[in-house]
Amino acid sequence: MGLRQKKDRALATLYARYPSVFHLWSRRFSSVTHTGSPWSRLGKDISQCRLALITTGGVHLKTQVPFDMNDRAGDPSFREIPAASALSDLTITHNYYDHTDADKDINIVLPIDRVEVLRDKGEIGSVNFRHFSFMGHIKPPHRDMLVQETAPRVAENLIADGVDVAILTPA
Amino acid sequence: MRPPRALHPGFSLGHPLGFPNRPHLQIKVLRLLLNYLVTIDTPGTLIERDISIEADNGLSYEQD
Repeated sequence: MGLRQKKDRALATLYARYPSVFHLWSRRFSSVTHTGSPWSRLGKDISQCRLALITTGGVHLKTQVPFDMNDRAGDPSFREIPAASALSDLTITHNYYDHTDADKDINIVLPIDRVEVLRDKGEIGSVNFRHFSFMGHIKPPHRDMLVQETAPRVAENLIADGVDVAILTPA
Repeated sequence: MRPPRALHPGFSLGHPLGFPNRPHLQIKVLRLLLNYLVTIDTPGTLIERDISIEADNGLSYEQD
């Protein structure tokens, strides 16, 4: 790991240990701003809905190409996570938050096992056969690719899969 | 960012569902999300709820 990546990890640890420092940074961080929110009413009972997860926690299969930590603008690509994945098949590549606890139990950023429980109890109708993962540190010029290409592609996949409910877990 | 509906459960960065190996707490957060999915009727609503404190106060997050 290079010096810059060590600095990024140290900052991530600082933000995790001292949330007030993170809040101070986040207030000054210039991100995409929107004047409105997309909106769609739930058209059926949740117990009949198909659910998928989307995380920005940098989760991916160990067999997949890791997110690019060398590009300071981040990596706007995404990874498909099969819903049947075992936790031991998954790992996290993301230097911009402290994922020490998520490494112990990835369910805290991608609750892949927990949604299966909700399905087994009949509280949701089904779990989609795949979930999606980004790494949540994407700055210009890659932010445009995220907004215009990769995020819409995930949305198209979710629609094609017949997903009714998507839960986004940021990290 | 203005997501359609959002819950800020009060956990620190990197812990959107809470703490590792606390499955009942994680499921409680998911159930809250699904509940707010039904009850929120205004686009852009953000619910701030410190579930970390509720969990520390011994509320039943370790049992169904």
